[in-house]
Amino acid sequence: MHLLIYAGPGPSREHVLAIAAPLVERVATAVTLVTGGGARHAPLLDEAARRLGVPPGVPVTQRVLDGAPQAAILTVAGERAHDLVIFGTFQRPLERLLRVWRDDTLAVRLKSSVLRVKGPVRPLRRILLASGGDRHTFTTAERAIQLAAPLGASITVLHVVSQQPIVFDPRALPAADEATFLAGDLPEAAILRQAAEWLHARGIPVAVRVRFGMVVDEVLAELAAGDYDLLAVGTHHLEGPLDRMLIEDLTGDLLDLCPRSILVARHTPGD
Amino acid sequence: MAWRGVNSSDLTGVDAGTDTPASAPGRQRRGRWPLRLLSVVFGLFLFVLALDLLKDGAHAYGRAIVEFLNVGSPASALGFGWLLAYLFLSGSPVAAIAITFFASGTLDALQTFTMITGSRLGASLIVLVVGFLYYLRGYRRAASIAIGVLALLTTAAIYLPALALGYWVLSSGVVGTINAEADVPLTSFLDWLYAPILALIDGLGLPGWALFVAGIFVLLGAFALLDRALPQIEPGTGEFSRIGRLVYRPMVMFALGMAVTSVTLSVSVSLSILVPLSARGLVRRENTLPYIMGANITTFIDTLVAALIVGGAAAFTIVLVEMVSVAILSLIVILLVYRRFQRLVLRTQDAIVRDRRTLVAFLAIMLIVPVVLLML
Repeated sequence: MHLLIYAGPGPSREHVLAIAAPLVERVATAVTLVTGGGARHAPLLDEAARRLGVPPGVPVTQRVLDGAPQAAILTVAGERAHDLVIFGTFQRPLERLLRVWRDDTLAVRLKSSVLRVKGPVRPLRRILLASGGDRHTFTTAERAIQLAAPLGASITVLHVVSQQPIVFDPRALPAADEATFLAGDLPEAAILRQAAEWLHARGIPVAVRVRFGMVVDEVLAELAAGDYDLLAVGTHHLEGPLDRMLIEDLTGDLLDLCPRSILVARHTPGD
Repeated sequence: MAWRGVNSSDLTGVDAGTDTPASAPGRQRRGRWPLRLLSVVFGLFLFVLALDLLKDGAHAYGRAIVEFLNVGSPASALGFGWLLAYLFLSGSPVAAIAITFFASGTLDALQTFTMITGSRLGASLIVLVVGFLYYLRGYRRAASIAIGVLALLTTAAIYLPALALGYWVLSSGVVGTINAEADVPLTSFLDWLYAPILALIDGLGLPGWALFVAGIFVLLGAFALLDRALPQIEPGTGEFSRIGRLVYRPMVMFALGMAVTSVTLSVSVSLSILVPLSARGLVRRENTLPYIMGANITTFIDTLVAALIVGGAAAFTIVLVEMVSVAILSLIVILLVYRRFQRLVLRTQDAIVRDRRTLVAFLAIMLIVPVVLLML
């Protein structure tokens, strides 16, 4: 994996390095360290390279740019493809109100998969994968496995049923409880079963959860109830300008509201 | 539990969407457009005739009905419109009756305004009543009535604050209609068309109450004809075929609700139009709420037309104030506090449908409140 890590100054720099270190050690094939703010922050990249424990043979590139960290990340990420871009939160509470550079804006604008680090500093042991119940679940699962396998983490596949019937035909009613839904023949249930099989076959401890309600609320509720370390989501439906205009960006909402680290999985041409 | 490994080829044919392809009946429907056009023309003809009959009947007996039911205040007019919508299983005829009461001088501007609001509150219960009948017949699934509860809650949450806003606008004199008598209605061509028919009916010597009852039946017939003329939306086609699977931006669903209802003129019909848009008859909760909010605005279009025909500028203003108040409240919610509003409404919906006792209590309240209002 070619990792791009923002190692410049920021409120969650320590957390970023702590999360990135095991990934650099176990799965990195190349590492790019980035900082904004100009040359005065260059020593931070040297220090980060030492702390990350980059294995011998893994090339490390350091990029020092002027300007805001978000702009620096976007510039470097735009120069070549990276498998994963890792950065922390940049905003403090007052800056969030200004909404100039929202964290979710950066994560949504990047073309690569993103690991936005946030929340308590602890190893990634439990990953919650939010599934829309469609085939894109497998793209998110592929990206989640790249973190779960080297870190020995488990994955819980979560699907939120927010649909409700608009006709009084009992055949149109969605299953009202988790077990019935998972055992049923709805396409979403089939996808969840297949995703679980797929993850299990790759040696990942896996569980499946189904919740009923509004997507963002239920994902955040499960995240808190299960004390997960990471939320994995996709942005697969926003595939064109019309989609971006019409479809609600739930990933952006989750990035804005989620108190834990988030993996935003993206489909790349090689998939 | 043993998991079987799968690869991408195993996934062929498995997709969350099961869109139904456009079918031959679609072509058949297109061949029926002359019949539809005829239904629209005849439906509109009956609509105007019904308004005239109601107005004539109301002139003679409307005041007696209103006095008998003790409709002497805006609050009692609200309850009256609300209960009448239960009776007619629709809000539009009741709104039209409110306009004819205003035109005949039976109700004043504020009472007309609140009666129209009551008609919308009553109309939104219809979806719930149908669902509840299924519920009692053995489909004991809370989900079958959830959409009706949602329609009612959304309507109440927007219309009640809009009622206060519109009431203030009308009573403060901002638009100057509070003391206005029914203005000159849209005449000339319509007079020329209907005068001979009304003269013929006059010649029959029917009492006022008979004209009023006949007007109600003709009005219901007109709405039935207009309903039949509704355009059919092909299932599974276009961007919105994914409506049951994806979460759309609230403003998109709000605009769609407005657009669809500007054609159907009925919120319940607009809700049922979501069925072909969602192949499985399911829509996401996140999508339904702004759609109902949009539908609740353009559902006034037929009342606006009725106001212009029988009540003139003053009646038109009353309906327009109602429509604009609802639109302003809806836009404030959508643009500023949508997430909180959505959470509040959907959680209330869940609390109501989760338990049979809470559902029955909710229905009882929905029956008692308009009765109490009528007595005020």
